[in-house]
Amino acid sequence: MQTTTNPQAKLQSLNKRISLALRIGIGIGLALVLAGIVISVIINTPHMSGLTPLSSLVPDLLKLSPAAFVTAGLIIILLLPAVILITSFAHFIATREKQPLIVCVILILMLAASYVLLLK
Amino acid sequence: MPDVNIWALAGTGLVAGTLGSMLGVGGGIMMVPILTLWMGIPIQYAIGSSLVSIVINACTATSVYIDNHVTNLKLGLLMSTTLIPGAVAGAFLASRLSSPVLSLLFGLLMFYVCYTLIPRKPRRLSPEQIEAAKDPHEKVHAPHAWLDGNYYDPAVKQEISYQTHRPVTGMVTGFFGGVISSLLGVGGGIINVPVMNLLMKVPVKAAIATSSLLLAFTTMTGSLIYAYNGYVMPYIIAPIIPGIFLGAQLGTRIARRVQSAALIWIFIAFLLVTSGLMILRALNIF
Repeated sequence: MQTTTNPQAKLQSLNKRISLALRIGIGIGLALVLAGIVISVIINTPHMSGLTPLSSLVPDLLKLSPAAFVTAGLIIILLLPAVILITSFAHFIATREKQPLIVCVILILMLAASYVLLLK
Repeated sequence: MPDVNIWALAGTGLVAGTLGSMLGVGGGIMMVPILTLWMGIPIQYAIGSSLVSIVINACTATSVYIDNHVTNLKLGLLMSTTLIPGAVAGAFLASRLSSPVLSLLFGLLMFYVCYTLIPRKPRRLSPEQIEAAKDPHEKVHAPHAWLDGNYYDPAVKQEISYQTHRPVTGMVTGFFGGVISSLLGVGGGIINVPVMNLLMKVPVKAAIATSSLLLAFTTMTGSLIYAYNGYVMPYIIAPIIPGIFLGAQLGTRIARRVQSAALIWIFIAFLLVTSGLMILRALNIF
Protein backbone atom coordinates (compact mmCIF):
# COMPACT_ATOMS: atom_id res chain seq x y z
CA MET A 1 0.00 0.00 0.00
CA GLN A 2 2.78 2.37 0.97
CA THR A 3 4.62 1.82 -2.31
CA THR A 4 1.58 2.94 -4.32
CA THR A 5 0.52 5.91 -2.18
CA ASN A 6 4.01 7.42 -1.78
CA PRO A 7 4.67 8.13 -5.48
CA GLN A 8 1.11 9.49 -5.73
CA ALA A 9 1.67 11.80 -2.75
CA LYS A 10 5.04 12.90 -4.19
CA LEU A 11 3.44 13.65 -7.56
CA GLN A 12 0.74 15.69 -5.83
CA SER A 13 3.42 17.62 -3.96
CA LEU A 14 5.15 18.30 -7.32
CA ASN A 15 1.82 19.51 -8.72
CA LYS A 16 1.45 21.91 -5.77
CA ARG A 17 5.00 23.25 -6.23
CA ILE A 18 4.46 23.84 -9.96
CA SER A 19 1.13 25.54 -9.29
CA LEU A 20 2.73 27.85 -6.71
CA ALA A 21 5.66 28.71 -9.02
CA LEU A 22 3.25 29.50 -11.86
CA ARG A 23 1.05 31.70 -9.64
CA ILE A 24 4.04 33.67 -8.34
CA GLY A 25 5.49 34.09 -11.86
CA ILE A 26 2.16 35.14 -13.36
CA GLY A 27 1.63 37.59 -10.49
CA ILE A 28 5.02 39.26 -11.00
CA GLY A 29 4.67 39.29 -14.81
CA LEU A 30 1.15 40.69 -14.64
CA ALA A 31 2.22 43.38 -12.12
CA LEU A 32 5.02 44.53 -14.45
CA VAL A 33 2.68 44.66 -17.48
CA LEU A 34 0.07 46.60 -15.49
CA ALA A 35 2.80 48.98 -14.29
CA GLY A 36 3.75 49.53 -17.96
CA ILE A 37 0.13 50.32 -18.86
CA VAL A 38 -0.28 52.74 -15.91
CA ILE A 39 2.99 54.54 -16.73
CA SER A 40 2.03 54.83 -20.43
CA VAL A 41 -1.34 56.36 -19.43
CA ILE A 42 0.31 58.76 -16.93
CA ILE A 43 2.99 59.98 -19.37
CA ASN A 44 0.46 59.85 -22.22
CA THR A 45 2.27 57.53 -24.64
CA PRO A 46 -0.47 55.08 -25.62
CA HIS A 47 1.53 53.75 -28.60
CA MET A 48 4.60 52.11 -27.12
CA SER A 49 7.13 51.19 -29.78
CA GLY A 50 8.53 47.66 -30.09
CA LEU A 51 9.80 45.50 -27.24
CA THR A 52 12.86 46.78 -25.39
CA PRO A 53 16.12 44.98 -26.33
CA LEU A 54 17.61 42.90 -23.50
CA SER A 55 20.79 45.00 -23.50
CA SER A 56 18.89 48.20 -22.57
CA LEU A 57 16.18 46.62 -20.41
CA VAL A 58 17.57 47.58 -16.98
CA PRO A 59 18.46 51.21 -17.91
CA ASP A 60 15.02 51.63 -19.52
CA LEU A 61 13.29 50.18 -16.44
CA LEU A 62 15.12 52.75 -14.31
CA LYS A 63 13.95 55.46 -16.74
CA LEU A 64 10.36 54.16 -16.17
CA SER A 65 9.90 53.32 -19.84
CA PRO A 66 6.45 51.64 -20.26
CA ALA A 67 7.73 49.35 -23.04
CA ALA A 68 10.55 48.16 -20.75
CA PHE A 69 8.03 47.22 -18.02
CA VAL A 70 5.86 45.33 -20.52
CA THR A 71 8.96 43.59 -21.96
CA ALA A 72 10.16 42.55 -18.47
CA GLY A 73 6.69 41.20 -17.66
CA LEU A 74 6.57 39.29 -20.93
CA ILE A 75 10.03 37.76 -20.36
CA ILE A 76 8.97 36.46 -16.94
CA ILE A 77 5.71 35.07 -18.32
CA LEU A 78 7.37 33.47 -21.37
CA LEU A 79 9.92 31.71 -19.17
CA LEU A 80 7.28 30.15 -16.89
CA PRO A 81 6.98 26.90 -18.94
CA ALA A 82 10.74 26.45 -18.42
CA VAL A 83 10.08 26.67 -14.66
CA ILE A 84 7.62 23.75 -14.96
CA LEU A 85 10.30 21.75 -16.74
CA ILE A 86 13.09 22.50 -14.25
CA THR A 87 10.84 21.79 -11.24
CA SER A 88 9.76 18.47 -12.79
CA PHE A 89 13.37 17.59 -13.66
CA ALA A 90 14.49 18.14 -10.05
CA HIS A 91 11.54 16.09 -8.78
CA PHE A 92 12.18 13.12 -11.08
CA ILE A 93 15.88 13.08 -10.12
CA ALA A 94 14.85 12.91 -6.46
CA THR A 95 12.26 10.16 -7.05
CA ARG A 96 14.54 8.33 -9.56
CA GLU A 97 11.74 7.88 -12.10
CA LYS A 98 13.67 6.94 -15.21
CA GLN A 99 11.15 7.49 -18.04
CA PRO A 100 9.90 10.98 -17.07
CA LEU A 101 13.48 12.01 -16.23
CA ILE A 102 14.65 11.05 -19.75
CA VAL A 103 11.69 13.01 -21.20
CA CYS A 104 12.68 16.07 -19.12
CA VAL A 105 16.31 15.87 -20.31
CA ILE A 106 15.13 15.65 -23.96
CA LEU A 107 12.86 18.68 -23.45
CA ILE A 108 15.59 20.75 -21.77
CA LEU A 109 17.97 19.95 -24.66
CA MET A 110 15.26 20.84 -27.19
CA LEU A 111 14.53 24.19 -25.56
CA ALA A 112 18.25 24.98 -25.27
CA ALA A 113 18.67 24.13 -28.99
CA SER A 114 15.66 26.34 -29.87
CA TYR A 115 17.19 29.31 -28.03
CA VAL A 116 20.59 28.77 -29.65
CA LEU A 117 18.89 28.59 -33.07
CA LEU A 118 16.90 31.71 -32.24
CA LEU A 119 19.94 33.71 -31.12
CA LYS A 120 21.82 32.80 -34.32
CA MET B 1 -0.62 49.90 -37.78
CA PRO B 2 -4.25 50.95 -36.99
CA ASP B 3 -5.40 52.79 -33.86
CA VAL B 4 -6.78 50.28 -31.36
CA ASN B 5 -8.96 50.80 -28.31
CA ILE B 6 -7.34 49.64 -25.06
CA TRP B 7 -10.71 48.46 -23.63
CA ALA B 8 -11.56 46.51 -26.80
CA LEU B 9 -8.21 44.72 -26.53
CA ALA B 10 -8.77 43.94 -22.82
CA GLY B 11 -12.30 42.70 -23.61
CA THR B 12 -10.93 40.48 -26.39
CA GLY B 13 -8.50 39.00 -23.89
CA LEU B 14 -11.25 38.38 -21.34
CA VAL B 15 -13.54 36.56 -23.80
CA ALA B 16 -10.71 34.58 -25.43
CA GLY B 17 -9.24 33.68 -22.03
CA THR B 18 -12.55 32.46 -20.59
CA LEU B 19 -13.61 30.37 -23.60
CA GLY B 20 -10.06 29.23 -24.35
CA SER B 21 -9.42 27.79 -20.90
CA MET B 22 -12.94 26.30 -20.71
CA LEU B 23 -12.44 24.40 -23.97
CA GLY B 24 -8.66 23.81 -23.69
CA VAL B 25 -8.00 25.57 -27.00
CA GLY B 26 -5.95 28.48 -25.64
CA GLY B 27 -8.12 31.27 -27.02
CA GLY B 28 -6.06 32.03 -30.13
CA ILE B 29 -8.76 30.62 -32.39
CA MET B 30 -10.94 33.60 -31.32
CA MET B 31 -8.26 36.22 -30.80
CA VAL B 32 -6.64 36.13 -34.27
CA PRO B 33 -9.89 36.77 -36.22
CA ILE B 34 -11.03 39.46 -33.75
CA LEU B 35 -7.69 41.30 -34.01
CA THR B 36 -7.45 41.02 -37.80
CA LEU B 37 -11.09 41.31 -38.96
CA TRP B 38 -12.49 43.75 -36.38
CA MET B 39 -9.42 45.77 -35.40
CA GLY B 40 -7.50 45.68 -38.69
CA ILE B 41 -4.22 44.47 -37.15
CA PRO B 42 -1.94 42.66 -39.69
CA ILE B 43 -2.18 38.89 -39.24
CA GLN B 44 1.50 38.33 -38.29
CA TYR B 45 1.12 40.80 -35.37
CA ALA B 46 -2.23 39.22 -34.44
CA ILE B 47 -0.62 35.76 -34.38
CA GLY B 48 2.35 37.03 -32.33
CA SER B 49 0.00 38.65 -29.77
CA SER B 50 -2.19 35.56 -29.77
CA LEU B 51 0.73 33.24 -29.01
CA VAL B 52 1.91 35.37 -26.08
CA SER B 53 -1.68 35.50 -24.77
CA ILE B 54 -1.95 31.73 -25.01
CA VAL B 55 1.21 31.30 -22.89
CA ILE B 56 -0.43 33.41 -20.17
CA ASN B 57 -3.78 31.65 -20.56
CA ALA B 58 -2.12 28.21 -20.55
CA CYS B 59 0.10 28.97 -17.53
CA THR B 60 -2.84 30.41 -15.56
CA ALA B 61 -5.09 27.47 -16.48
CA THR B 62 -2.28 24.98 -15.71
CA SER B 63 -1.69 26.54 -12.28
CA VAL B 64 -5.35 25.82 -11.43
CA TYR B 65 -5.69 22.41 -13.14
CA ILE B 66 -2.39 21.05 -11.77
CA ASP B 67 -3.28 22.24 -8.27
CA ASN B 68 -6.45 20.11 -8.57
CA HIS B 69 -4.35 17.18 -9.92
CA VAL B 70 -6.37 17.00 -13.17
CA THR B 71 -3.30 17.60 -15.38
CA ASN B 72 -1.37 14.48 -16.42
CA LEU B 73 2.10 16.01 -16.05
CA LYS B 74 4.08 13.01 -17.35
CA LEU B 75 1.88 12.66 -20.44
CA GLY B 76 2.15 16.40 -21.04
CA LEU B 77 5.95 16.30 -20.86
CA LEU B 78 6.11 13.29 -23.18
CA MET B 79 3.87 14.85 -25.83
CA SER B 80 5.87 18.09 -25.66
CA THR B 81 8.91 16.25 -27.07
CA THR B 82 7.23 16.26 -30.50
CA LEU B 83 5.11 19.39 -30.08
CA ILE B 84 8.10 21.70 -29.50
CA PRO B 85 9.94 20.73 -32.75
CA GLY B 86 6.58 21.12 -34.51
CA ALA B 87 6.16 24.61 -33.00
CA VAL B 88 9.65 25.66 -34.15
CA ALA B 89 8.93 24.37 -37.68
CA GLY B 90 5.57 26.19 -37.74
CA ALA B 91 7.04 29.54 -36.64
CA PHE B 92 9.77 29.43 -39.30
CA LEU B 93 7.22 28.41 -41.94
CA ALA B 94 4.93 31.32 -40.95
CA SER B 95 7.63 33.91 -41.65
CA ARG B 96 7.82 32.60 -45.23
CA LEU B 97 4.07 32.66 -46.02
CA SER B 98 2.05 35.69 -47.13
CA SER B 99 -0.92 37.13 -45.17
CA PRO B 100 -3.63 35.84 -47.59
CA VAL B 101 -2.20 32.30 -47.41
CA LEU B 102 -2.14 32.45 -43.59
CA SER B 103 -5.73 33.81 -43.53
CA LEU B 104 -6.89 31.04 -45.87
CA LEU B 105 -5.18 28.35 -43.77
CA PHE B 106 -6.67 29.84 -40.62
CA GLY B 107 -10.19 29.86 -42.11
CA LEU B 108 -9.87 26.23 -43.21
CA LEU B 109 -8.53 25.26 -39.79
CA MET B 110 -11.55 26.80 -38.09
CA PHE B 111 -13.86 24.67 -40.25
CA TYR B 112 -11.89 21.65 -39.05
CA VAL B 113 -12.29 22.79 -35.43
CA CYS B 114 -16.09 22.97 -35.88
CA TYR B 115 -16.00 19.41 -37.18
CA THR B 116 -13.98 18.13 -34.20
CA LEU B 117 -16.15 19.93 -31.66
CA ILE B 118 -19.43 18.38 -32.86
CA PRO B 119 -18.61 14.63 -32.59
CA ARG B 120 -16.72 15.09 -29.31
CA LYS B 121 -19.77 16.33 -27.46
CA PRO B 122 -21.60 13.04 -26.74
CA ARG B 123 -18.34 11.37 -25.69
CA ARG B 124 -17.92 13.64 -22.70
CA LEU B 125 -17.94 11.67 -19.43
CA SER B 126 -20.03 8.80 -20.76
CA PRO B 127 -20.55 6.13 -18.06
CA GLU B 128 -19.02 3.44 -20.35
CA GLN B 129 -15.88 5.51 -20.80
CA ILE B 130 -15.52 6.02 -17.05
CA GLU B 131 -16.12 2.31 -16.37
CA ALA B 132 -13.64 1.23 -19.06
CA ALA B 133 -11.03 3.53 -17.57
CA LYS B 134 -11.62 2.05 -14.13
CA ASP B 135 -11.36 -1.61 -15.25
CA PRO B 136 -8.74 -3.11 -12.89
CA HIS B 137 -7.87 -5.95 -15.34
CA GLU B 138 -6.91 -3.46 -18.04
CA LYS B 139 -4.82 -1.53 -15.54
CA VAL B 140 -2.68 -4.53 -14.60
CA HIS B 141 -1.76 -5.11 -18.26
CA ALA B 142 -1.27 -1.43 -19.16
CA PRO B 143 1.87 -1.16 -21.34
CA HIS B 144 2.46 2.50 -20.49
CA ALA B 145 1.52 2.49 -16.80
CA TRP B 146 3.72 5.50 -15.98
CA LEU B 147 1.43 7.63 -18.15
CA ASP B 148 -1.78 6.58 -16.36
CA GLY B 149 -3.59 9.14 -14.26
CA ASN B 150 -6.40 9.82 -11.84
CA TYR B 151 -8.24 12.87 -10.56
CA TYR B 152 -11.35 13.82 -8.63
CA ASP B 153 -14.21 15.11 -10.80
CA PRO B 154 -16.60 17.31 -8.76
CA ALA B 155 -19.20 17.26 -11.60
CA VAL B 156 -19.78 13.49 -11.12
CA LYS B 157 -18.50 13.47 -7.51
CA GLN B 158 -16.06 10.57 -8.00
CA GLU B 159 -12.41 9.71 -8.51
CA ILE B 160 -11.66 9.05 -12.20
CA SER B 161 -8.79 6.66 -13.00
CA TYR B 162 -7.64 6.05 -16.56
CA GLN B 163 -4.85 4.53 -18.61
CA THR B 164 -3.23 6.18 -21.60
CA HIS B 165 -3.39 4.36 -24.96
CA ARG B 166 -1.27 4.78 -28.12
CA PRO B 167 1.26 7.32 -26.79
CA VAL B 168 3.49 7.04 -29.88
CA THR B 169 0.61 7.77 -32.28
CA GLY B 170 -0.38 10.67 -30.04
CA MET B 171 3.14 12.06 -30.17
CA VAL B 172 3.31 11.84 -33.97
CA THR B 173 -0.05 13.63 -34.29
CA GLY B 174 1.14 16.11 -31.67
CA PHE B 175 3.99 17.20 -33.97
CA PHE B 176 1.41 18.53 -36.45
CA GLY B 177 -0.42 20.20 -33.55
CA GLY B 178 2.83 22.04 -32.83
CA VAL B 179 3.22 23.11 -36.49
CA ILE B 180 -0.36 24.44 -36.64
CA SER B 181 0.05 26.14 -33.25
CA SER B 182 2.98 28.32 -34.32
CA LEU B 183 1.92 28.67 -37.95
CA LEU B 184 -1.49 30.11 -37.10
CA GLY B 185 -1.13 31.25 -33.47
CA VAL B 186 -3.91 29.03 -32.18
CA GLY B 187 -2.18 27.10 -29.42
CA GLY B 188 -2.78 23.62 -30.81
CA GLY B 189 -5.42 22.60 -28.25
CA ILE B 190 -7.86 22.05 -31.11
CA ILE B 191 -5.61 19.15 -32.17
CA ASN B 192 -4.35 18.01 -28.75
CA VAL B 193 -7.70 17.66 -26.96
CA PRO B 194 -9.36 15.42 -29.62
CA VAL B 195 -6.13 13.38 -30.01
CA MET B 196 -5.81 12.73 -26.27
CA ASN B 197 -9.53 12.13 -25.78
CA LEU B 198 -10.44 10.07 -28.87
CA LEU B 199 -7.12 8.38 -29.72
CA MET B 200 -5.38 8.04 -26.37
CA LYS B 201 -8.57 7.48 -24.32
CA VAL B 202 -7.75 10.20 -21.79
CA PRO B 203 -10.97 11.57 -20.16
CA VAL B 204 -11.95 14.92 -21.64
CA LYS B 205 -11.30 16.96 -18.47
CA ALA B 206 -7.80 15.49 -18.07
CA ALA B 207 -7.25 16.03 -21.82
CA ILE B 208 -8.22 19.72 -21.54
CA ALA B 209 -6.02 20.19 -18.45
CA THR B 210 -3.04 18.40 -20.05
CA SER B 211 -3.62 20.35 -23.26
CA SER B 212 -3.15 23.57 -21.26
CA LEU B 213 0.28 22.33 -20.17
CA LEU B 214 1.16 21.44 -23.78
CA LEU B 215 0.00 24.87 -24.95
CA ALA B 216 2.36 26.52 -22.47
CA PHE B 217 5.36 24.68 -23.94
CA THR B 218 4.50 25.00 -27.63
CA THR B 219 3.38 28.64 -27.54
CA MET B 220 6.39 29.66 -25.46
CA THR B 221 8.67 28.51 -28.27
CA GLY B 222 6.51 30.05 -30.99
CA SER B 223 6.02 33.38 -29.22
CA LEU B 224 9.75 33.80 -28.57
CA ILE B 225 10.37 33.38 -32.31
CA TYR B 226 7.61 35.90 -33.17
CA ALA B 227 8.95 38.35 -30.56
CA TYR B 228 12.45 37.97 -32.01
CA ASN B 229 11.08 38.76 -35.49
CA GLY B 230 9.39 41.95 -34.15
CA TYR B 231 5.79 40.71 -34.37
CA VAL B 232 4.94 41.29 -30.67
CA MET B 233 3.95 44.93 -30.07
CA PRO B 234 3.73 46.11 -26.42
CA TYR B 235 0.77 48.43 -27.03
CA ILE B 236 -1.29 45.56 -28.49
CA ILE B 237 -0.32 42.84 -26.05
CA ALA B 238 -0.25 44.87 -22.80
CA PRO B 239 -4.04 45.49 -22.54
CA ILE B 240 -4.81 41.90 -23.63
CA ILE B 241 -2.74 40.32 -20.83
CA PRO B 242 -4.90 41.36 -17.81
CA GLY B 243 -8.04 40.31 -19.74
CA ILE B 244 -6.55 36.92 -20.58
CA PHE B 245 -5.47 36.40 -16.97
CA LEU B 246 -8.94 37.13 -15.56
CA GLY B 247 -10.61 35.08 -18.32
CA ALA B 248 -8.39 32.05 -17.68
CA GLN B 249 -9.17 32.15 -13.95
CA LEU B 250 -12.89 32.36 -14.72
CA GLY B 251 -12.83 29.71 -17.46
CA THR B 252 -11.05 27.02 -15.41
CA ARG B 253 -13.48 27.45 -12.53
CA ILE B 254 -16.51 27.23 -14.83
CA ALA B 255 -15.05 24.22 -16.72
CA ARG B 256 -14.69 22.15 -13.55
CA ARG B 257 -18.37 22.47 -12.68
CA VAL B 258 -20.37 22.98 -15.85
CA GLN B 259 -21.33 20.82 -18.82
CA SER B 260 -21.38 23.66 -21.31
CA ALA B 261 -23.20 22.20 -24.32
CA ALA B 262 -24.88 25.51 -25.21
CA LEU B 263 -21.55 27.29 -25.00
CA ILE B 264 -19.98 24.82 -27.44
CA TRP B 265 -22.72 25.54 -29.98
CA ILE B 266 -22.19 29.30 -29.57
CA PHE B 267 -18.47 28.69 -30.06
CA ILE B 268 -19.12 26.64 -33.21
CA ALA B 269 -21.40 29.36 -34.62
CA PHE B 270 -18.70 31.98 -33.92
CA LEU B 271 -16.07 29.83 -35.64
CA LEU B 272 -18.23 29.24 -38.72
CA VAL B 273 -18.87 32.97 -39.21
CA THR B 274 -15.25 34.03 -38.61
CA SER B 275 -13.80 31.20 -40.73
CA GLY B 276 -16.02 32.27 -43.62
CA LEU B 277 -14.88 35.89 -43.20
CA MET B 278 -11.20 34.89 -43.01
CA ILE B 279 -11.48 32.88 -46.24
CA LEU B 280 -13.33 35.72 -47.98
CA ARG B 281 -10.60 38.13 -46.85
CA ALA B 282 -7.91 35.76 -48.13
CA LEU B 283 -9.64 35.70 -51.51
CA ASN B 284 -9.92 39.54 -51.47
CA ILE B 285 -13.74 39.42 -51.42
CA PHE B 286 -14.27 40.86 -47.88
